[in-house]
This record gives sequence, structure tokens and C-alpha cells, in this order.
Amino acid sequence: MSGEIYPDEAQRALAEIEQRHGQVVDLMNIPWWYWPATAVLQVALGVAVDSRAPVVLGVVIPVYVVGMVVVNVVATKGSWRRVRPRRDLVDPIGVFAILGLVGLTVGGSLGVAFSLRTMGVAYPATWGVSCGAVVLIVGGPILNRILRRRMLQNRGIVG
Amino acid sequence: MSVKPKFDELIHAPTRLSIVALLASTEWADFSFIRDSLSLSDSALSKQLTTLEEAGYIDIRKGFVGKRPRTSARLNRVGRAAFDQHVAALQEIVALSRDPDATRPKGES
Repeated sequence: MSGEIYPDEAQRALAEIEQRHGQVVDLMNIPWWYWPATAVLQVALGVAVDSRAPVVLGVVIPVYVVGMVVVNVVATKGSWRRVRPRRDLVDPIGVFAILGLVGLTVGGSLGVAFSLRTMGVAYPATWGVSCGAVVLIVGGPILNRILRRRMLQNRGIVG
Repeated sequence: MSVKPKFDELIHAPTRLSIVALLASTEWADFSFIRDSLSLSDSALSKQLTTLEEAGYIDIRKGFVGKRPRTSARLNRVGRAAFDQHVAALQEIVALSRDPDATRPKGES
């Protein structure tokens, strides 16, 4: 039966399949503003911690929590409510990349903050989260590209 | 894992191929998402989904979000297997056109 199909028609069908797969992968793309927005919220929290002022902490902590919720909800709204991409599109290398960025951000922030505090440097939390913020702003788009490439390769069908 | 190539006439129809390809990358997809992604009318999409459901390739779920009715579709195990086999068949056709000896046993002339 497949003998009736010309190669160029088969090629077009495969291209259509790739395009639809890419359409779903694009839905999982994290918007560019997500990383700087998260970084700004983290730095604000670090500054508040260093201020040691209860009033500042009382204001900034709720703003941070609400801000993170809003940023995450807005980043995943829209099409995500109308479709759920396959979980296995993100393969182990993609998961490793996500965990790597999280580890680098948290580990970098805490490492720098505690090291500076031990050395008696002023505003260690601010410097620590600022380093984490830089990692997020630089690493976030890189993570996006890695995930997109992995998901495009991982169609989950014979290839 | 190797998949036995099997051309599927039902899936290969252009609109159904697009629908199944879209569903193959998702756990499930909302009726409106498929309709908007493929620029189809409600009736055209309904017809194709019914055909795929009757073939046993997709499951259709009807529910409510608040008071609004919501219909979603998912490619089931049978449909996913048929799609994988169809893709393998398409790839085989393309591979054979590039190298006619690709699937011929060694030594055969």
C-alpha cells in the first residue's frame, strides 16, 4: 500500500509531523522575561534580609512570594491550559540541565553569601543572591535552548 | 526500539495526519487548541475526531470547566502505535528513494 506513495509526498508528511511537534515544543518555551523577573525578586529578598529591618522583611517577603506565584502563573498560562505536552519530551539530559541550573543558582547564592559573611563583608545576602541572579539571567536562556533542542530531537517515534 | 513500518491510510489523510501528529506530542489537547492550531472549523474537526475515535486511535473526554463545556482528545496506545508505524513507513519510503538497496538483504542483486 505504501508503494502508492511517492517519496516527496512521504517527505512532506514527515515535515508536517515535525512542524506539529515543533508547535507543541514551542508551547513549553519559558518566556525571556521569566529569568530577569525571577532574578529581580531574588535580589529584592536578599536586600531585605541584609537590611534586618522587620518592616522591610514584612513587606518584601509577601511581595516576593506573590511575585513568584504571579511570574510562574503568567509564564505558564495560555496554551498550557489547553494542552498538556508529553512529559517524556524532556529527557534525562534535559532534567539534568534543569537541576544543574537550579543547583548552580542556589549553591552559588548560598556559597557566596556564607563565604562573604565569614569574611565579614557587608551585605553578604545581597551579594550572594546577586550572583544567583546573574546565573539565572545568563543560564536561563541557555537552559531554554538546551531544552528546546532536546525536545525537538525527542519525538518519541522512530527517527 | 525498532517499530515495524506499516502505512496507515486512515492517518495519512492530510488533516488527520496533522491532528494525530499534534496529539502524538501531547498527553492530551483541548478541542479548541487543535482547532486553532490547524485552522479548522468546529464541524470539520469534530468529523475527523469522530473518525479517529471510531478507528480506536483516540479517546475523547468531555467535561466542564466551571459551567463551560470542554472537550479534549488524547492519542491512545493503539493510536500511538499506529502513528509510530506510519512514521516508520514514511521514513522507509524516503530512505528507499535515496538508496534503493537500503532494505534489500546483503548479497541480493
